[in-house]
Amino acid sequence: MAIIYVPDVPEFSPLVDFSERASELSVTNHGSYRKIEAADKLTISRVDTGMDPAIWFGALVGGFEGNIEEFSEHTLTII
Amino acid sequence: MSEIPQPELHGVHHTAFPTWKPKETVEFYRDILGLKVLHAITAKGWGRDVHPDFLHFFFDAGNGAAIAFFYYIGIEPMNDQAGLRGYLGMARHTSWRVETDAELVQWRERLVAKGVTISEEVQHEVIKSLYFRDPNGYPLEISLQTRSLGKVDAMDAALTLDAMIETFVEGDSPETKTIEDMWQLKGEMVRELS
Repeated sequence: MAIIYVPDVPEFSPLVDFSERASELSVTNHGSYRKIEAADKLTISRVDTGMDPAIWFGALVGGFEGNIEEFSEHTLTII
Repeated sequence: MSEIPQPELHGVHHTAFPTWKPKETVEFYRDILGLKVLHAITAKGWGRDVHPDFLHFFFDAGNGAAIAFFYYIGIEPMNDQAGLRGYLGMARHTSWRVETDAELVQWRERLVAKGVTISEEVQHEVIKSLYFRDPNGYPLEISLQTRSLGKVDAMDAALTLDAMIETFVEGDSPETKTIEDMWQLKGEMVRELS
């Protein structure tokens, strides 16, 4: 199981919006955070979110559960 | 013991930097940026030890804030103290506030027209910025706050700082830790929140 916690603030909403559209991801409320969860592997493409790199690279500020397989300019994968 | 009152701060009065390029510095801040000269102090050295005579001059950075320089007379330039390159040099920077997109555009146009090399506009989490350097090499930034900060930001920041200290200072073998370790600890902290 892979989880990221995203502060519920406007600059990270593209990440949440993308995750809500992705069938393999679930998004729930967790206090002041949105909890993005994957049963297996959590993969998000930066380009698909429309996020600028300077914000993308700060996207794990809320913390995660699992292990990072890749966190590049293009892709975030947590397993 | 009585509680110590918590005093307030009310913004920046001034920040100050040494310069070994007094003419270029005045021309840059007064003429290129167009900042008003507020005040200039000329002083015989202070203190018991050898302390050069100096000028200390202030430019208006708006809203009661100034950027100031010391020019120490008759000493060799210590260029390693000014305008460092690389991430350490960029980390010590001054960022000024503008209030509107139009002002940010005006600053871009002015700087370009005056021949100042500027960065592309960078969209950060809560600010949009232009970057450039003064003749001393000091990094400068002009920022537009794109949203106000609130309780969520403050709560999250407090947790992040706790996670930083626990990971890189007080944790087990902190010298071996990575930002991924810190994010994992932050994830545990956030999971425990109700």
